[in-house]
Amino acid sequence: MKSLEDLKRIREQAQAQIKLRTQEANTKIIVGMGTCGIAAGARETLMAILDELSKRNIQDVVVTQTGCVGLCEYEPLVNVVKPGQPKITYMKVTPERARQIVASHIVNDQIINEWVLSTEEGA
Amino acid sequence: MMEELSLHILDIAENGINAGANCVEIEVDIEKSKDLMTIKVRDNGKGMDSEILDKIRDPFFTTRTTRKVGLGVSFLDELAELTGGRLDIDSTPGIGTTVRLELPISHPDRPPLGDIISTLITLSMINTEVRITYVERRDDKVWSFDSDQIKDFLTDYSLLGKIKEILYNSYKDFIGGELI
Repeated sequence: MKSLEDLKRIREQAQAQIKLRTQEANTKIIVGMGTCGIAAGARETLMAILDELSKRNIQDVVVTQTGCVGLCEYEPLVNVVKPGQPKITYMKVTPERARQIVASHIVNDQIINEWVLSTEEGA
Repeated sequence: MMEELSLHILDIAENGINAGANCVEIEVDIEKSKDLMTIKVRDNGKGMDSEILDKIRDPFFTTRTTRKVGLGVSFLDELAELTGGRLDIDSTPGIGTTVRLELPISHPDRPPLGDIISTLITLSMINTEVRITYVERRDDKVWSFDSDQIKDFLTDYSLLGKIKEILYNSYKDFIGGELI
């Protein structure tokens, strides 16, 4: 694997097996990327989430960002929104926590209550 | 201040994207002979009028409604002042904003450039509708990135590891082990 051209070839070969992510995907992971979030480590948190999704070959999740929501002391903040479930906001999400959130909440539907900052019904 | 200049770059680029930009151009020039590092982030967002521009370095000014402080630009301003550098911000409503930061390379308080690849991947993956370009010049060498090159892969997490590998290897070859 030396270039993007190599990668393009791999993608074309695998395309039939790939379920592309769309805006209608079932689950959203939203990372706070305001100045406070970035200063608290949100970039590394986001990279850990993407890495874990990649390793687990999870496709039906949209990862996106939001700005500062005024809860700077709890950054990095990560929201998980699953259809039919309350929006869960996790606080102080280190890369290690982020990987566990993907494994537990995204994959196994188990909320990690210890790290939950807030729960918002009807999100 | 943040630990890495690449985090400041991420923050400034995010500001532009939140201001409606669909294109963010980042340039880093490292001129060792002049002991000068120049970082330029240009976006085509909604821009700012002169009234906002006059206040933007004030840490207690923000256009956001969710908080009462706006730290991003004031961090850069503080960094420029601390290191004897310079921060210029040009903005035109409806056209966009350019943030230009000059820092002396040798100043002990200048943060390292840091993990610029993570910044570029982060910006590209979470803003798939925005074109992110990056050019880094080190004397006569140039390294560049354009999110349009990887656009086809941005919706497929399974290839992220390969994208990272290609970008890190390419950048590593460019810097030749010289961390700035």
